[in-house]
This record gives sequence, structure tokens and C-alpha cells, in this order.
Amino acid sequence: MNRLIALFSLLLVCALTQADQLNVDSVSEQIREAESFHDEARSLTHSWVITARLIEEAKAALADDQLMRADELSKRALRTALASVSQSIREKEVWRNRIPSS
Amino acid sequence: MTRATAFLVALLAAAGASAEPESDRQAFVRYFEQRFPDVEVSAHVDGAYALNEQTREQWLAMEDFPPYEFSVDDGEVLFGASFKDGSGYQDCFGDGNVKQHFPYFDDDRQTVVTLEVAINDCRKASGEEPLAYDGEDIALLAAFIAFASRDSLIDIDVPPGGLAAYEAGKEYYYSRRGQLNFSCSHCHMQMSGMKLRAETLSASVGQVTHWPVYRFKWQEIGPLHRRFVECNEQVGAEGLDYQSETYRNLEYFLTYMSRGLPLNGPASRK
Amino acid sequence: MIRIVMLSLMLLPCFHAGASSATERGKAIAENRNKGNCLSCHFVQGGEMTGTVAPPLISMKLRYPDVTELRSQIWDATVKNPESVMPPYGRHLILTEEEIDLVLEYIYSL
Repeated sequence: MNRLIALFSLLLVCALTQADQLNVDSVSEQIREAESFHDEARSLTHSWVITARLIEEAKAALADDQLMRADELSKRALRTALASVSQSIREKEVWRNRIPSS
Repeated sequence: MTRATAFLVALLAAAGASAEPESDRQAFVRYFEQRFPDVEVSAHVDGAYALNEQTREQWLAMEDFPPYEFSVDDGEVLFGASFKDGSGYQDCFGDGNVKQHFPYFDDDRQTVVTLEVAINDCRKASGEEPLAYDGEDIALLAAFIAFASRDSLIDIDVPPGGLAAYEAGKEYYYSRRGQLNFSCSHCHMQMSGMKLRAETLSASVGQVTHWPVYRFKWQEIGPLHRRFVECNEQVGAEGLDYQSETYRNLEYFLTYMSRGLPLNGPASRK
Repeated sequence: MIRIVMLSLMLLPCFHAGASSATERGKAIAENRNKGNCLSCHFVQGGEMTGTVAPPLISMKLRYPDVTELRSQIWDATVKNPESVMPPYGRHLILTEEEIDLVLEYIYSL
């Protein structure tokens, strides 16, 4: 029994320290970063539905004090936002290849 | 460039037509002729129903009582009503047989004018409020005008000033978009005639001829740009505003690709 | 008593993982319209309303003796063919790496 309690305490400490590294400011900053890349993709008419959804979910999680969840969601939002911007850059190079030749 | 080709280019420019859109169109049409040797190009105005015999029969049966009929009637009433200053849509569009000339490039405003934009221009010139592009009234008016224009052949051109808008529409059409990474051309050229689940993908040639469309999925009549939004979202891309510059440019390109085809709107679709 | 309850609680995840095999979980992801949605384009034995856009998913071990090659195709098919119409499941984050592994497990069994 004592060992179990020790194990649980350890898990609790781990969870707490991890949460401690995150704070509202850093997660908010991450959300803002995702938003700015998403806006850039939108200005290039290459924005994705999933990014907008992840940003909304991250904001809701943050408002609900679910810091770890907000962190994870905003990280994913940032990655999809970056992928959408790089899609637009890549397409500038290759779209002409699809025009049927006359 | 030889003197002869230089002369030819100058001649075409003077005539208001551009060589590139026309050679683009011919190659585009030839693409579908080669892909579907048994389907007349003009048959593609029926979209996926030109490529799937089974769904075509169901659709023809449905067209016996077209679900857009009331919309055309309601649109005719709106079309005939007078503005506060006593003028009306007839002063802008005559009897309504005008859709074949849209969209066109307006040199003064340096922008593509679609039928919907022209409807609002007509209203504004008489001091009326513009209609919402996602509203019912503009779809009904467009339905009546489409009906009044039936069988007319698409007759637009790309003047030198409109080339940039045409090119922008062309680039949009051929660029991959969305998380699923499809361009319009992937689905409606490369995959046309194939099935996604049970749905046959239509060919792009002829796609613009039959709008607005009563879509059973929507349970109402809606404009081409609503379908653009739907296409965008189906590939995981964010849709744009109806009548945004990007969508108007895309409509301009697509309509030029269907130049010479007969108008057959409004139509019904699943 | 408390000890037994706690122990069973701790072991619960293990039973859960055993309840459905990787192949079954991969199948569920492959069929989910918001995840793999593979059947939208590929014929799969026993699948309902499968598409005709892409090659049927049969004899995968024969077609891909090297399973990592199949994984690369799922991750980003445009590497091998720039005009492929297959969504880049990994590069575009449509599926997580773990989900790709599960789908791979399933597809490779076909």
C-alpha cells in the first residue's frame, strides 16, 4: 500500500511540475503565433478549416484553465498553420504543371 | 518573335481578344474530348449526369417537376417590380436574356463583374440598397435571368486589361488547397468521371452553365459561389466570401473555359 | 479490498488495449470519414460504397514487400508522384504518427 501511495505521489508531482512549466502567458503566446500564421495563410487564400478549429478549441481550453490541453491544441494549430503556408509557397512553383498543353 | 506573329498578336489585342485564354480553352476542351471520347463536349453542361447513365435517369425523372420552378416564378415577380425611382431591372437587363455576357471585365473598375454584382449595381444606380449575396432574393433574380437566358451560348471574352484577373482565376483553379491537398483540377480533370464513394465527379467544362442550382442537399436554390465554398470545405480549405474578388476571378476563368456552350440554368442537383 | 480495487484500476488500461487489436483500431481509423476515409477512393474487400479513384487495397504485402515504403506512401504520396491525388496524411497532419502506424497495420493485412 505504501508503495502505491508513493507511486501516486510521484505521478502527481510529475503532472504538477509539467503543468508548472506551462503558464497562461506562454500558451496565449503560442495561440497568437498560430493565429498569425493562419492569417497569413488566409491572405494567400490557402487557410485550412482544421487550424481555425484547433485555435478555437485551444482558446476554449485556456479559458477553462486546462493548460496542458490548450498547450497541445495550440501546438497542433501552429503546425497545421505552418503546413498551410508552406502549401501556398509550394503551389506557386508547381500549379502551371497541371495546365493541359495545347 | 517574327514580324508575322508580332502582327498577329497586335491584331488580336486590337480585336479585344487575347491569344492565351483562347488557346487555353481549346486545350481544356480537347482534354475532356480525349478523356471522354463518347461524350459530346456540350453534354457536359449536365455535369456528373453526363457521365453516369444510372443517376442521369433518376435526375431526368426528377426534372419532370423541377424543384426550381417556383424560384423562377418568384424571381420573375421580383424582376418585374419597380424601384422607388420608377425604373427597374428591365432598364438594366431588358427581358433578362443576358447571362451569356457574364461575367465580364470592367476596365473602369478594374474588376470582374458577375451577374450578381451587376444586379446590385443596377439597384444602387436607382438608389436601392444592394442585396445580400448570400440571401434568397439575389438567387431568385439570378434564377429568373438564367431561365430567360436558356439556350443562349456563353459569349464572353478576355480583353487585355482582364488578363490578370483571368490568370488569377486560372492559378486558383490549378492550385492545391486545404489539408486534403486537392486543386479544382485534380477532382474535375484528373479524377473526372471517377467515383468518390457513390458520387461521380463532374468535368469542369460545362460546370458554370446551369447556375443557380436547386441542390437537394441545401433544400433551396443557391449560387455558384456557394458551391465554391462547399468544394473548398470538402478538401479542408476555408471558403471565401460570395462575390469575393478571388471567386469572381475563378468564375471568370471557368466561364471562359465554357465559352460557346449553351446556358441551361437553373438546374437541379443532388 | 481497497488494494484489489486499486490494482484492478491500474490494470484497466492493459485490458482495454487488449480488447481491440491494432488491426481493428487501424480499420476503424481507415473507415472513419473524418480520419483516413480510405474507402472514399479505394476499393476494400467488404467495404460499402467504395470509390474508384485509386487502386484497390488488395495483396498489399505483394505490392509492398517493404512495409516502410507503404508507410511513406500514406505519409506523403506526392514524394513519389508529385501529382498524386492521395492526401498527405503525415505531412499535412491529417493523422497522427500513431494513427498512421495503426492504419498501416490494417492496410498491410489486406
